[in-house]
Amino acid sequence: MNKLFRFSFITMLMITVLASCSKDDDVNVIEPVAATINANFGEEFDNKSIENIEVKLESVGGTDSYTANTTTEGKASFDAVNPGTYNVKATIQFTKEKYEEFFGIPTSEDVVNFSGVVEGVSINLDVNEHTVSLKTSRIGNLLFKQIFYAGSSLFDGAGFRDMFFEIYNNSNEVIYADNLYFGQVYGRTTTSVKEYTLANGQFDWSKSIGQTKGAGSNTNYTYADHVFKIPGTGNQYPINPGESIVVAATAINHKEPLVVGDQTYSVNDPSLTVDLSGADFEINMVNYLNSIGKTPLDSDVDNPAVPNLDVVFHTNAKDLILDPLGRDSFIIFSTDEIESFDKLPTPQTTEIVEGTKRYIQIPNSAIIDGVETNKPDPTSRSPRRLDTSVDGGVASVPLGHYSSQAIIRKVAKTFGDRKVLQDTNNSENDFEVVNVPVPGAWK
Amino acid sequence: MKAKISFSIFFFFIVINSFGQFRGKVLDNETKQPLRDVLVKDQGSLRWTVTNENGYFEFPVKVYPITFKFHLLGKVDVIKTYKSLPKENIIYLKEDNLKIDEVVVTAKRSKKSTGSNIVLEKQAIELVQAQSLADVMQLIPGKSISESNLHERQILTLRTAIFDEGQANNTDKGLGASNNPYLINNSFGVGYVIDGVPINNNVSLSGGRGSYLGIFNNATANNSVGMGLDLKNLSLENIESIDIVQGISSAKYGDHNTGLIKINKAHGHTPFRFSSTLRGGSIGASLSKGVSLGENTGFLNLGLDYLKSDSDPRNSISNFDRINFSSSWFKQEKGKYRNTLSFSYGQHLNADNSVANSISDRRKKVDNNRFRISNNHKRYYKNSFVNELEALVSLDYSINKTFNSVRKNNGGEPVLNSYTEGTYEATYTPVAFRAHENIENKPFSFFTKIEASKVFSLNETKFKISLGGTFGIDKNFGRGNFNEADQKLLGNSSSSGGSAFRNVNFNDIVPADKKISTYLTTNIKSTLFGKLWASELGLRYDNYNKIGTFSPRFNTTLKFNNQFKARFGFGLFAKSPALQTLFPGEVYYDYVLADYRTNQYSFALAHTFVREYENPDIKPSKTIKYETGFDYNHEYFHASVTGYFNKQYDGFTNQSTFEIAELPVYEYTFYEDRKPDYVQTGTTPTVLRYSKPTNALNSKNLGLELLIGTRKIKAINTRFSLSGSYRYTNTFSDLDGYVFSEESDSEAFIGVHKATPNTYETINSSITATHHISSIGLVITLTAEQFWMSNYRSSSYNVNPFAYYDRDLNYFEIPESERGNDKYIPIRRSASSAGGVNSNRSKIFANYHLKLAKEFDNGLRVSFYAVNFLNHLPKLEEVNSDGTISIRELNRPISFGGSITYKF
Repeated sequence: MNKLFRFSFITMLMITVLASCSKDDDVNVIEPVAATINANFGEEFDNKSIENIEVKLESVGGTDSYTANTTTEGKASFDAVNPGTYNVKATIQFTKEKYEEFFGIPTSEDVVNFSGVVEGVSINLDVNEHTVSLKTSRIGNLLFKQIFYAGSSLFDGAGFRDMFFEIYNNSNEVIYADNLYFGQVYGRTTTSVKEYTLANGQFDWSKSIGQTKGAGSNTNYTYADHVFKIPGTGNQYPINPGESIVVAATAINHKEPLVVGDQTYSVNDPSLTVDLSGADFEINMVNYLNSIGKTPLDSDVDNPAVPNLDVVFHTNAKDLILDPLGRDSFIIFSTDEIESFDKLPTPQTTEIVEGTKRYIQIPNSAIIDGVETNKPDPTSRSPRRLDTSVDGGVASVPLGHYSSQAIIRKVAKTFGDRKVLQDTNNSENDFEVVNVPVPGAWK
Repeated sequence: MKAKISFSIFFFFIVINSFGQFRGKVLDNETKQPLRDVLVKDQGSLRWTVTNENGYFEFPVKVYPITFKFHLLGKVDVIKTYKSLPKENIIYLKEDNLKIDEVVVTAKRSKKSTGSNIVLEKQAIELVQAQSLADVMQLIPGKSISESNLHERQILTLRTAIFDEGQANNTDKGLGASNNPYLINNSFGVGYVIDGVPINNNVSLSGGRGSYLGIFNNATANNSVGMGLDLKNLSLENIESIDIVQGISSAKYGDHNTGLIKINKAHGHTPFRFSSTLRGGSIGASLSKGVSLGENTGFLNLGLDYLKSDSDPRNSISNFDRINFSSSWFKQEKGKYRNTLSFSYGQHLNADNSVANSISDRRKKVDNNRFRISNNHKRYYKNSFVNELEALVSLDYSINKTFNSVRKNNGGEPVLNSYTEGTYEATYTPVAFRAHENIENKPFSFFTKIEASKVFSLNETKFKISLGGTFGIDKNFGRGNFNEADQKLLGNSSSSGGSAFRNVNFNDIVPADKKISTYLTTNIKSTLFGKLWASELGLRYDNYNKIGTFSPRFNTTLKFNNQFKARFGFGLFAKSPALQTLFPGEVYYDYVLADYRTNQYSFALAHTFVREYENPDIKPSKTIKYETGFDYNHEYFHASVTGYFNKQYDGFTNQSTFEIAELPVYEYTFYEDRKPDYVQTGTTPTVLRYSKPTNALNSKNLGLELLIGTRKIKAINTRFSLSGSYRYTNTFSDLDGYVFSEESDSEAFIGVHKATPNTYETINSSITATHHISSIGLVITLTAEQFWMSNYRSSSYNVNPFAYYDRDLNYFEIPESERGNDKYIPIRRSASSAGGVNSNRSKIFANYHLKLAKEFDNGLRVSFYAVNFLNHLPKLEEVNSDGTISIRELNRPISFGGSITYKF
C-alpha cells in the first residue's frame, strides 16, 4: 500500500506542479512590448527622414501615451508599449534654414511645421512596426525648367520657329496645368533716362494714364504684352511630381520639318535644332488672327495631335515669338479674375488715341514663377523688367541669338527618381546654359 | 556801144543784186581769225545761212529792220538788229568760258518765248557739277538744292505744292520719290523732248498687277513704272541748253500735262572736253568731242560718259557702273537743209552684287541696255508754198533684266501656284533654299513726225503757220516675270483678299499701244495799239487708247515798251495712260486652308480663285492751264512775275473693287500615320479685292512765281538773283473710301465714305549771289534758300458712312437721319482725325550752299561745291499722333564734291 500511495502522490504532485508551471494566456495578463515607428516624408521624398521627429503613441480608448524621437534614419523606438490600438502622431518643426537645406525649396516662413497621423494601428507582439508620413502644405510649385528663346541658326537651323518653354512640377503633389497663364513681359529696351522712366531706364509705370496702383505700380505689378492660357476644365492636364510639360511655338520635329509622301526633308544642320513633335502644348495663332482680320504667319503650322493654348491677350505677335536676344522676361501666373486686370499704355504715351498699344497689368501676388532674361553682354543690356521680388537675377546665353543655346534650371536635390530644381528666385544662380536643349529631358 | 550797154546792164544787175545782199564777216574775238560754219539766222523768218572758211556770209535782205542771230558752238551768241544795210560788217564772237563779261549760273527767263519759259544755259549747267540730270533740275526756281541719290529714282515734278515729310523737312536726297498718287500723276505728266524727239516712260512694266507687286516688292524706291522719267538714266553729255516750259507749251508737243522739258544737244565743232566729277561714293568721267568731217560732210559729235556709283558703303547690293555713249552726225547745206542723225547707247556694268552676313544672304543683278537712234531732217524751200519741211524718225529700245535672289529658311512653305480655280493639295518648298525672281522688261518705242511750216507777212503782221502729224507705237517685248527651269518656286504667302503673284509674260499679255496726233500752230507777230504783240495759237488732236482729245493752246505777249511786257496764256493738255494700266489678263487669289505637319506627314490644302480682268476704258489725264505775268526790264535789273492756275482732272489712280466669294470650309479627320481626310462642310464668305485702274484724281493748283535778277554790279563784281514762289494745291478724289467691318456678325459689312479734299500750301524762296571776276575766270556762287511755309490741311469729315454694303454685297443708301445709328459703328471711319488735320511746319528755316569754279588759261577748270556748307541743321519739335514728342532735324548734313574739266 505504501508503494501505490507514494506513486499516485508524486504523480498528482507532478501534475499539480506542471499545471501550475504552465503560463496562463488569459487576457487578464498584459506584458509591454517594444515597438518601432518609422516617420518619414513620404515616397515623393524617397522616404527620407530626419532626426528628432517627435512621435507620439496615443492609445485608442485608453490613457496610454508614449513619446520618442527619431534617429537620422527616421526610426523612433519605443521600448515598452502596452499592446493595444493606438493613434500615431508625428510632428516636427523646421526652421527656415533647415527646411530649405533639407528640401531644397525656399520658403518665406520662419518655421514650417510638419505632422503626420495614422489612426488605429495595432501594437502587439506580432505587429510592432509602423510607418507614418509627415506632411505640410504642398512643398514646391510649378516653375520654369527650361526656356529656349535664342532660336537656332537662321540659315542652317530653324531660325525662331523652334522656340519652346518647359514647365516643371517641382512639388510633391500632382498639380493640374489647366488654366495656367503664361505671359511675356513688356518693357523698354534702351537705358536712356527720360521723364517717363525710372533711373535704370525702364518705364515708370506709375506715370501711365489710367494707373490706379500708385507707388506700388512698379514693384507690385508686372506688365505683359502677350498672355496665353493652358486650356482645360480644371483636371484635364495633370503634371505629376517630377514631371514637366513642354509648350512649343510650333510642335513639329524641327530637325525634319517636312514629310511629303515618303520623303523626309531636314534642315541643313539638324543637330542645331530640336524635336518638338512630342510637345504637350502648342501656340498657334492662325485661327485667332483670322478671326480678328489679321494675316497669320506662314510658319505658324499646326500639329493636330497637340492641343493649342488659348490666346488671352496680345499686342502684335503672330506666333509665340520670344526675343532671340533675350530682351523678354517670362512669367507663369494663376488667377480667376483676369478680366479685371487693367490694361494700360506705357507712360511715354501722352494722349490715348485709337491705335494706342496697351499692356495687361498682372499683380505680382498672382505670379507663380518669373524668369528675367537679357543679352549676354552686361554692358549692352536693356533695363530689367521683373521686380527683384519675382526674380533677383538675370539669365542669359553666352553665344547670343540664334545660337541654339537655352537656359535650364540646376538640380538642387534628388529624392530617388524625383529631382527638385533650384529656385532661390534668382535666375542668375538658378539657371545654367545647355548648348542644344532637349525638350522634356535634362542637360 | 554794145559793149557799153552790156557792161552797164551787167553793172546794173550787179548793183541790183548787191542792193539786196547783206554781207558780213565773223571773226573770233580773241584771235581775230575768221570763223567758219557760224550759223547766221534771220530771227523774223526761217531763213538762215552759214559763214564760209573765210568767215564771210551773204544774206539777201528785202525789208529792214532785220535782226540776225550769230551762233557757233562754244561761243557766246550775238544778236544784232540792223536798221539799214551796212557797208561792211564785222561781228566778233567771244569764247564761252568764265572769262566773258557775264556768267549766268541760274535759270533765265527765255527771251524767245511768249510764256513763262525758263532756259538753263550751258554755263549754268556745267557749274552745277552734276552727275545726273536730276542735279541740273534743281536750278528750276522753287526746287530745293540737295545731292541727288543715284540709287533711287529721280523724278521731276513741276508747279505743285504737295510735299511729303522729307520735302517739308528738306531731308530728301535729290528729287523726291514719293508714292503720293497726285505727285505720281504730276511727274508722269512731265514730257521730255531731246532734240525734237519725245522720250517717255510709258512702256516699262512692273511685275504684278492690282496691288500685289511681286515677291521682292517691286514698289521699291527704284521702280518708276507709271511715273515720270527717271532722270538719273539720261546722259548729260553735249547738252547745249535746256528749255523748261511750266506753263503753256506749243501745240507741237503732246503727251504731257504738267510741263515740258526740252533738251537741246550741241552740234558742231567742239574741242576735246574731259570732265570728271567726284561726290560721296560716286565717280563720274566723261569725254566729248565735236569734229568737222570735211567741207560738205558736216560734224560728228561724240560723247562718252562713265559713272561708278557707290551710294551706301555699308551695303553694296545696289552698286552699279554705267556707261553712256552718244553720237550725232550733223550735216547742213546752206539754205537748203539740216540733218541730224543721232545714236546713243547706254549700259549698266558690274551690277551683280551679293551681300551675305549672318542674317541675310542676297544677290541682285541688274542688266540694263538702251539703244536710241533718231534722224531729224529739215528742208528749206525759198519760194514755194511750204517754207520748211521737217521729218523726224526715232527708235528707242531698252533691255532691262533684274535678277533677285535671297536665301530662305522657312521650314517649308506651301506653294500656291495654281492657274485654275479650285481647292488642291499644295506641294511644299524645300526647307531651306535660294528663292529667285527674274523680271525682264523690253520696252520699245517707235515715233515719227512730219511738219510743214510757212512764213508770210500780211501788211505789218508776220505769220508762221505749222501743220504736223505724229505717229507712235509702244510695245514691251519682255518676258516679264519668269523662273528658269532649275529655280525653285517661292511659296507665296496666302492673301487675305488681295490678289496674289503669278508669273506673267509682258510680251504675250500686253498689246502694242498706238498714238496718233496732228496739230496746227500759228505764230503771229504784229502791233496792237502801237505796241509789239506776239502770239502763238495752236490746236492739237491726240488719239490715245482709242480716245480722242482736242487741245487748244494759246500764248500771247504784249510789249508795252522796252521795259515792260505782259503775257497771258491758256491751254488744255492730255496725257496718255501708261502701258501698265492697260494690262488685261487674269487675277489670282490664294488661300491656305490647312497646313498640318507631324512626323508622319505634311499636308497643305489650298484654294485659288481666278478672275478675268477686263481692259479698262482709261481716258487720258487732262489739265487746263491759265497763266499770266509780266516782265520788267530795267537798266540794272530785270524782274518777272508769273501767276498760274491749273485744274487737273481724270488723273490716274486705282479704284478698290470687291466681290464676295465663297471659300470652302473643310472638316478634317486625323490619322496617326497618314494624311487627314477632308470633306467640305460648307463655305464661308470672303472678300476678293482688286485695284482697278481708273481716272479719278482731281487737283487745283495755283501759284505765284517771282524771278528778279540784277546786272553784274561792277564795283563788287557780283550779281544777285532772287526767286520766290507761293504754291497752293487742293486735291480731291472722285473715289469713295471703304471701311470693312471687323465684327463677324454685323449686318453692315462695308461702309462707303466720301473722299475728303486735302490742301497744301508752300512758300519758298532763294537768293543767289554770283561773284565773278572775269579777268581770272573765277566764279563763286553763294545760294541761300528760305523755307517759309509748308502747310497741310485735310478737311474734317463725317465718321458716319453715307451708304453701306451688307454681307451679300447689296448696296444700301443710308438716310441722313440714320447715319449715326449704332448699327453702323463697325463701319465708321476713324474718329481720331475726323476733325481735320492741320499740320503746319512751325519753323521757318534756311539752307546755304556754296559753289566755286576757276578757269585756268590752259583750258583747265576746277570746280567745287558744298551743299549746306555751314552744316546748318535746325531742329523742330513735333507732337506725334500717339502723344509722344519727336525732334526732327531739318536739312541734310553737309555734302560736297568737286569736278575737273579740261578742254584741249
